[in-house]
Formats: sequence, C-alpha cells, structure tokens
Amino acid sequence: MKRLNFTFIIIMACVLAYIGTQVSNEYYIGVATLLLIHAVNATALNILLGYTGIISIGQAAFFGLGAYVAAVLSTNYGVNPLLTMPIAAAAAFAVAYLVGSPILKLHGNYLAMATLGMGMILYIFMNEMDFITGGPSGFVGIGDIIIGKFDLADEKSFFVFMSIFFMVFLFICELFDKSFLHNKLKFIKNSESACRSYGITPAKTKVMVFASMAALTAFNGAIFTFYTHFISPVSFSFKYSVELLAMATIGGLGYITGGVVGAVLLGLVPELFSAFEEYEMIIYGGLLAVVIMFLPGGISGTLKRLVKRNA
Amino acid sequence: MLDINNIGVSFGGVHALSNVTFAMPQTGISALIGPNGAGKTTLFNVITGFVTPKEGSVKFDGKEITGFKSEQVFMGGISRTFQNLNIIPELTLRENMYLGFIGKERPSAFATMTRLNRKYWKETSQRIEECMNFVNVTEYADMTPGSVPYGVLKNFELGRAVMSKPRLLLLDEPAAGLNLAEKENLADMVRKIQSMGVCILMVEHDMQFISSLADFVVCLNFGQVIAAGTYAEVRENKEVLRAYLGDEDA
Repeated sequence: MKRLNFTFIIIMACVLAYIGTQVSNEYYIGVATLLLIHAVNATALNILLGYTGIISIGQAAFFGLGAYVAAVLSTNYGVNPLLTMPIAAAAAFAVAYLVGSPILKLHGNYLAMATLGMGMILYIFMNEMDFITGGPSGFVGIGDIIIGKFDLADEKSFFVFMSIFFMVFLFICELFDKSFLHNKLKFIKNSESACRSYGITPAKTKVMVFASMAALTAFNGAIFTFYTHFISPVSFSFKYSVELLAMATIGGLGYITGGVVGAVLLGLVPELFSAFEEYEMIIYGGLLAVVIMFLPGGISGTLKRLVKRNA
Repeated sequence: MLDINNIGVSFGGVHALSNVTFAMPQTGISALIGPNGAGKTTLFNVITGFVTPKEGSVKFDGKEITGFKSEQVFMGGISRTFQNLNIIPELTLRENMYLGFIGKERPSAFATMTRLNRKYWKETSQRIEECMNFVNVTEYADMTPGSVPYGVLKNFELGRAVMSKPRLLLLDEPAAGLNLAEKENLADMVRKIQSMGVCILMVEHDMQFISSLADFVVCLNFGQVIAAGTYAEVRENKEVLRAYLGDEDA
C-alpha cells in the first residue's frame, strides 16, 4: 500500500486558505472558484483518458446535464439545491452507463467521434428543449445554496464551499491514485487482452469508470449552476470539452496533479489574455503543441521526472 | 489435464486449425511446435478463450471450457503469457505485478481506498516480494521496464503469471529474443514452476530449449497435428522433418 502524497494536498489547502482569508477582491475570488470547477472536470477527464485510455470529447455535455438537472429541479420543483447535486450525478451516471455500454467497445479515433456525437446530441437537446432548458436564451432565476443559516450568495462563502468540496475530491483522488485501482485502470489502458487473460473484465470496468466520471462532472455542473445562477448551452459546448482535454493533456495525463495544474494554467488564459479574446483557441493550441512536442507527460510528468532525476 | 478434441478454426477462407486433437499429460511440461503459421498461437487463443472454435471442444481437468471467456478460463486455473511483453512502461515492476492477482482476488476498492484492509495488502506485498525473489527480479523491483534488461522482463512475466497460482500455465515463445545464458536461466525457472505442481504448455521454436524441458511434444503444420509424443519420437517423425526441412525432391 503506497503512502499518500500529502505535499500536493497541503500546498493546495494552503493556497485555498490564503485566497479565502487574505484576498478580498471579489473578482479574483470568483476566478479562483471557476478554476476549482475546471480543475474537478479536468481531473475527471484525466482519470478517463490518462488512467483508463478512454478519450471523451463529450464531457461538457455531462457538465451541462448536471447543471440543467439541478437548475430545473431547484427552480421549477423547489427541490433543495444540495439534494439536486446527487440527483444530477445519478442522472448523468444512468445516461453515461446506457451510452457507454455500446460506445466503449470502440477505441481510439472511433471512440473520440462517438463521444463527440454524444456531446453534440446532448447539446442539441439543451438548445431545442426550450420548454425545459430555456433554449439558447438560457435558464434564469436559479437560487442560492442554503446550508442551515448560511446562504452562499456572495463570492467568498461560495468559494469556501467549493474549496471544501475540492479538497475532499482531491483527497479521494489521492486515495484512488495510491490504490490498486490506479494500476488496474492503467493495465486496461495498456492492453485489454492481457487484462482479460488475468481475470479483469475491461468492458465492465470501463463503463463503470465512464459513468462514475460523468456523475462526478454532473455533480460539479450542479455546483456551477448555483454559482452562476444562469446557465445557457454555450457553456457546455464542444469548445469546453476541447478545453478540458487541453487542460488534462497540458497538466499531465495519468497524474492527479495534472488536471489541477492544467485547469489553473489554461483557466487563467482568458483572464491574462483578455485583450486577445478572439485568439484564445490559438493560445490553447499553441500550448498543447508545445507540451506534446517538448514535455511528454505534461507539466506534472516533466516535473516528476526532474525530481526523480535529481533525487 | 487438457483435452483438445477435433478443434477447427477458420478466418474467412483460411483454415487456421482443422481437426486438432491431442491430450496433454496430467503433469509435466508439454510443448507445441511447428513452422511459422502452423496455428500454434491460434490454438493458445482457443484454449484461453480469445478465439471461439467453429467446431470441437476443449476440456480442462475433464470440464468443458470451449467458448468460455478469457476471464472465466483464467478463473478456472489457466494462466498465459504473450509473445509480446505486456508490461506497463510507466509503472515499476512491483506495481506491474498487481496484474497477476487483482483479477483473481478482486480486493475491495472501497476497503483499499479507505485503507481498511491493511492486513490483506501487507500479506500481498509479502507475496509479491516472494514472487519477485522467486524469478530473480527483486533488484529491479522499483525500476520501470524501460530500464530493465529484456531477459529480466521475461522472467518477470513468468513470475506474474505464477502469482495467480494457476494449475496450467501457457507460455507463448518464452525463449524468443533471449541469449544462451538467459535461456538457461529461464529453463531453470520453468523447471522450478513445474516442480510446484504447475502443468506447463509452451509454444517454442528453440528445439534445444524444448529438448531440455518438454516431456511431451505436439507438432502442428498447416493447422493440423502431424506428430505427438516424446521429443525423441517427434524429432524422428518424417512428417515433422518434411514440415521443417521440406521434401528431399524439392
């Protein structure tokens, strides 16, 4: 049983504690909250692609599914926002399980195209089912999360909520990374036939991982809903799926730190280069090309190699 | 131990195996030989559930296993190695050893993540070390496969296959790519595994390696059994000589 890597967890806890206590500018706190949301999504995709070898270009759709389920249930049916989160996760799990069972028999480019198609279909539903989702105009009037006496209406209180969720998530990811599950998923990624000859059923495991990561992304989508109070299909388009893919790849596929590092780096691009908004995708593409060519394993993989070499 | 009855496999118009029938002895080391394209690996794939035969049956310890999935065949006590090493480049050899047992023992994910089954993992770590020691790869345990000699990786794969405690072990070209010293080391290892009561069936091209190990040899050519018996018997068989050396007239 491997020891947990507490260094990264402690660094993240310190950074979040610093932002929570020392930063008073609401804009910066808002950016930090969004970065945490991206980090959870990118890490979920990293577990899919970096660990299990499942390329998904439809993760934004699950994020949107969770957001809409939470928005509709809380706004139209008065369900407690906290309760809508597990419901959104369960709905995404069910959809991903049903969709994943046939499409995860595909590999490589074919799987990428199938997940892209799935994402597109869900995106079209979000746009066209305007009687539920509000269509392209978006869904308005979403309330706040209320926990006891605390109404998470302001930036700081929501940031604290998101930070707690993120730290719990990070700790669970670290437990996963240091368990045999990590190895099992990488065996599947490397050779499905070898896995089968050692009693592992790759198809079953892949569907479970795909559905679990969809559920996690949808849970995160529900949190996003109550943060922005307004959602529209644009936030869950193909572009966001590609951004998540870029975050996971640049951060480092197959490393828990990868999704977080990539999300922080690429999440800051729109903030740092706001004057070049229309060139955003060029910056993403450029960074992706540089990492793939010169930093195999992404930033986390390269740092790990450097540390190991100097140890 | 293993009864192959009238197995036939076709890929489109190619008859990879036809009418293959032989019975493997209850104990010892058996070998499957034949020229390239004879159907040896296809037969391995039939036994281990990767290919379903269009006719015939496979019985293991008297139990029909034809058409079983690979996972079921493994759970029934048959382990195999592949021609190409299936060792994950980014994991250390110790971590790669996990493949040998997690599919069979299926430890609880929840208990492992929450560290509730420490005792199980302590015992398992002990078993991994014993297994690594058994196949002489302990000094490479914390290295990734890229920095380990090929012969050591071959030994490692053998150890990983034994980790699941199989009753029958299928080795697909275990000596391929090894030098003489590594082959001798591997032969010792195979004998040690056999002495633990594990029955072994191997596909191999190296006749010297086979002659030093195999008690029973089956020769395939063009998907059919052309000879079966001891190594000496098979070596003298005219059909076998023709398959390997060609006709005198030619």
